[in-house]
Amino acid sequence: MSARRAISKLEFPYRAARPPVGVPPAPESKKRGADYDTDWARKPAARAARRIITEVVMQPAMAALARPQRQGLDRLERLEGPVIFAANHHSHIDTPLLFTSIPPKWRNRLVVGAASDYFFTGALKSAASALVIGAIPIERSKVGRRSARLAASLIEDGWSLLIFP
Amino acid sequence: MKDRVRPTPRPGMVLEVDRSTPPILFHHGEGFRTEKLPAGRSRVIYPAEPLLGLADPEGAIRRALLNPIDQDPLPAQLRPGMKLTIAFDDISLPLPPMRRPDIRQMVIEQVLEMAAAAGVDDVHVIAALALHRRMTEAELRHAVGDRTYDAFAPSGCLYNHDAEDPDGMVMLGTTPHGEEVQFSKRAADSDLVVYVNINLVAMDGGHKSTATGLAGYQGLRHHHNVKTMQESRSFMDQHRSELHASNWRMGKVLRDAGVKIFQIETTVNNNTFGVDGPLAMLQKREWEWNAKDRAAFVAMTSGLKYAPPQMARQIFQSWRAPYELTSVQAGEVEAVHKVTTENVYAQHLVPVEGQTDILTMGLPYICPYNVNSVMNPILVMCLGLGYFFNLYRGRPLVRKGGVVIMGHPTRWEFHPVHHPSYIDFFEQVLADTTDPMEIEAKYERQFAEDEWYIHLYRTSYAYHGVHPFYMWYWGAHALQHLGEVIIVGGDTRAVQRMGFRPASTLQDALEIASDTVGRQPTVTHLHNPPILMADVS
Repeated sequence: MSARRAISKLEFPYRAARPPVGVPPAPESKKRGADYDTDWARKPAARAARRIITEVVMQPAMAALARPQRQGLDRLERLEGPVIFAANHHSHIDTPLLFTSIPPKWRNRLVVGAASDYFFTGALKSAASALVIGAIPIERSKVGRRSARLAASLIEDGWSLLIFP
Repeated sequence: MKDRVRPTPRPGMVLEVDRSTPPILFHHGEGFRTEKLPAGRSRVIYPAEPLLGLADPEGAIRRALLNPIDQDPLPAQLRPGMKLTIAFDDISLPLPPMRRPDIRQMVIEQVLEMAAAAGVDDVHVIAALALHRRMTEAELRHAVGDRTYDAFAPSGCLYNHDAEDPDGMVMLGTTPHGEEVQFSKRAADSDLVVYVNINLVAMDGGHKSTATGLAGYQGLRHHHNVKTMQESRSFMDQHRSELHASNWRMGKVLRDAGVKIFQIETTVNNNTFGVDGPLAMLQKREWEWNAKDRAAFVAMTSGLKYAPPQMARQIFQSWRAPYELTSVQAGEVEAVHKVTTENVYAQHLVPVEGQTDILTMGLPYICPYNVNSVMNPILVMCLGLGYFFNLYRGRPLVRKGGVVIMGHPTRWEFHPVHHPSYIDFFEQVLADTTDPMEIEAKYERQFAEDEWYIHLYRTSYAYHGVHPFYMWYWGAHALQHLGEVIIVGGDTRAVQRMGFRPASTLQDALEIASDTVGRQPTVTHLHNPPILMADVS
């Protein structure tokens, strides 16, 4: 028997089952936009990967592109607990710039409020945003309770938040 | 924080099986089977998806305590110098045990905070386990939380109910039907009894919480008997359950005797295996399994095939269900229970048209009486013919004279510490007869009053001597109703000892069943767990 024929003879669960006739398909779980689940990006493995990406890729890239001058970092030293970093916003480079400028003490437990309609539109883009900068989706087209609750609970859990109001 | 959003849960459904229907998942103890059901005359009943849990469980509990149904707010009932008893459901709920924090912990901590604020210092916390085994320290800690355990257990104020303590039990009267109401003395002497319940199925809660949970053999024998169970159609439907009618009569005696009960009932969704995670596929419909689900299932079943049974048991018994609180209500027992039952039905009821000739079920690794223990053959019978068979409202899923086919390894195996009287019941009583009436008349009292079993119940972690009888009675309605019971994949000797027919495959079982229901019977599969209850029209 050929391999193809052998595979075609496989039954569930070795191959997917056909949906029964007349049974409506399962509603897609909302995985995009403001409903994207970023929980995985705060797990230890993702945080370790983010740290490597920041130090190996982002920091050299920012140094080459922008050569930022950083002032007032000493004012963070005496702060305890989570911090809300509120920055002005000119371009998409602001996020990596801020991300690499915030001291590791805060950066290693930092989430970035990111526009859900831009950063969380596709599977790859959403995953990259959550992994690389620790983005969480923020709705900007309406005043969403969900985004606010998520941000508040993360702060309660000790995460700092970077936003561009 | 988990920021995932679940789609709106879909209700349960009935799938008509045709030739394209995939093999259907059957639980099989600490394992699984996938079975092809006969096309054109079979159907599968799927449970509803887990309802969404309350967003703020702590707040919901607080609101329930401050705004009870048909009673004053809890703080208004608390005063310095009073005797307060908090009783709670034991290890048999929920199933499997839930992830921390357990609902009982969340409720009890708030009750205790209110009691402390009111200056109440005579507080006892009791696991209302009736004739079940005592809970271990670890199990108590899991249920009530470390804070409560450390505050009350060392001084002897948190303990397991002891239904055989001659100084700890009291008779409060009899119902008009002559049923004696036996009750915990501490609870009877209290100014207020706060009962903390988890309502997993419609049978739980109401007056059964206290009238059964804090009772002893002298009281329980009036409703834990063959006649009551045969007249409960089913015991999951309170309005057609003689078990409940008896408990409700006893509840009235408790009330008339001056026992004041503040009932707190909670319901959970049926998120038994998680919407994601390693067991998520067990609560999905087969055609919705993605590649990850199928790979995980194949890997799991292959591993389980070679794992020693003890290891497989340990793996499954360590599973903690991510149940979520769907409702909490407090106050007067009957009024509270009415709301609770509606909330249980909202999760469990699945409308089903008509009965079937053959009902198939895959029995899982756990039932209320083998948490952290062994699922012995008597418990297999109790789970299949007691619990699963009775998960109906209206009419039984299977017609009178029909056949139940259940799948389970049904090993001739018992937990020697937890189930000592089960061993003797299985080896002596069932060797003589399997007729519940005859068993009750001939053997019950002897086991119930056996000093050794009583000693083990009180001092070790054994179920009471009479408990295996109750398990057998639990299936009495099914035994009376059915023409045949077949167990697939079970130990032949153990299955035959119980008076059932063994079969090695589902196809063999269907062949055997044809002697009773003919060559072209209709077949219905109960896709359970997660739990569902058939609303049979």
